[in-house]
Amino acid sequence: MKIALLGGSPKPNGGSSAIILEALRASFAGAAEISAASLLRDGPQASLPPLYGAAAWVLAAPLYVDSLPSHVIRFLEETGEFFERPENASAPRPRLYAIVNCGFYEARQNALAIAALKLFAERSAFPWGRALGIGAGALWERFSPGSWFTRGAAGALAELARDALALAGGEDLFVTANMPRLLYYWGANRSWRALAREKGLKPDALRRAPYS
Amino acid sequence: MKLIVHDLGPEGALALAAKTEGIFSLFDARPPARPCLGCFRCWTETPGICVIADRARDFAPRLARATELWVISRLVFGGLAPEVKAILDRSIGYILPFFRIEAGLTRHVPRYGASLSLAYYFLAEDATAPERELARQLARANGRNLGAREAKVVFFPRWEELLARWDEL
Ligand SMILES: Cc1cc2nc3c(=O)[nH]c(=O)nc-3n(C[C@H](O)[C@H](O)[C@H](O)COP(=O)(O)O)c2cc1C
Repeated sequence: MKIALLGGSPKPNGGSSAIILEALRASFAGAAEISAASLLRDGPQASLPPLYGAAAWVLAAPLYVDSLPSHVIRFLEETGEFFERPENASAPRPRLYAIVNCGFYEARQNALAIAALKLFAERSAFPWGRALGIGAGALWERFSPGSWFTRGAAGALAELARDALALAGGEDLFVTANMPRLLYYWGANRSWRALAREKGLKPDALRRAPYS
Repeated sequence: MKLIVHDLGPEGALALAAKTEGIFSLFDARPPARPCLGCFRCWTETPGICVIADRARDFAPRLARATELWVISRLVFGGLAPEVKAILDRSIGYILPFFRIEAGLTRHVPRYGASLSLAYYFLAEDATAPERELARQLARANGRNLGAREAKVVFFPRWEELLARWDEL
């Protein structure tokens, strides 16, 4: 069976989404033929050879302004148009699986982006697989895979991987960090200041209002 | 200032400009701007300013001074069209990176004082009920996260109907 991994983060290194997809790739090893594409770098066409002909697509994307990043929406629109063309109308559609991660602690913040993916699937006649929403997603970039903090989400990811291999479906999964919310925010606020210092800015400069 | 970001084609944009002259500042989301690259440099390096030098960068100064933001967009999978979404993604410098918890909900701290009132006008000829419902939820969530007082949502089949009913909006 062929599974295509679709990277929806625009970061050059693929961000938390890429790390999540790498973890999935490891759990598919030996059981499926894996191909991968970055939706921003490789262009949005659904006709990308790695995507076309896969039995399942697993899309991992960050949450941007409560929904999918603009280039992911564009990809979905173009994918819909591609499959609507007369010559592709009867082409088999891959089953769609999705992992959306967000900066906020609450995994449920990702529910709207997941709902949009389901609406895409419905409009374009893609069979729906399953979705996982991950809160405090930045921790995937920060800590090594298998870390205590991301263990809950890693468990849910394994569940999604099993479903994808069986082309099975299930309820949406929502999992956040193994870390209290206040501690996560304290760490996040601290790391914004640390990043500013690295760029030679005083912490107060982060509050600049250049256009007021 | 009242600000509109829209994805109407050239003809719709002209008609909109005629309706709103002197009242609204208009921002055309087409041709498409470059997508956000997720670098967060608008938070940590050049606070409030996107580092990608293209037209979308001119939106932030206008948003900073706006008291009202109207978003006119094709309805795509229950949300914004990619062109309009790119402008909003490129504008997170409008808020600060810092998190705070307010009434049990997470929010970002605002960068600019005045709070915004938001309105979404979605264009779709064949919108399904779930697509409309998701659009309403999205507007509520955006309103909360941008620190807006309210987030109105109205659907129209095409821009012609939107402009015909303009005085009632
Ligand atoms: C333009 C932009 C908008 C964002 N909007 C949200 C948001 O609405 N809610 C949220 O929880 N996180 C938001 N985030 C944070 C990202 O979802 C978070 O950093 C995520 O871990 C990035 O994933 P990636 O590394 O796979 O790109 C936003 C980030 C960017 C750059």
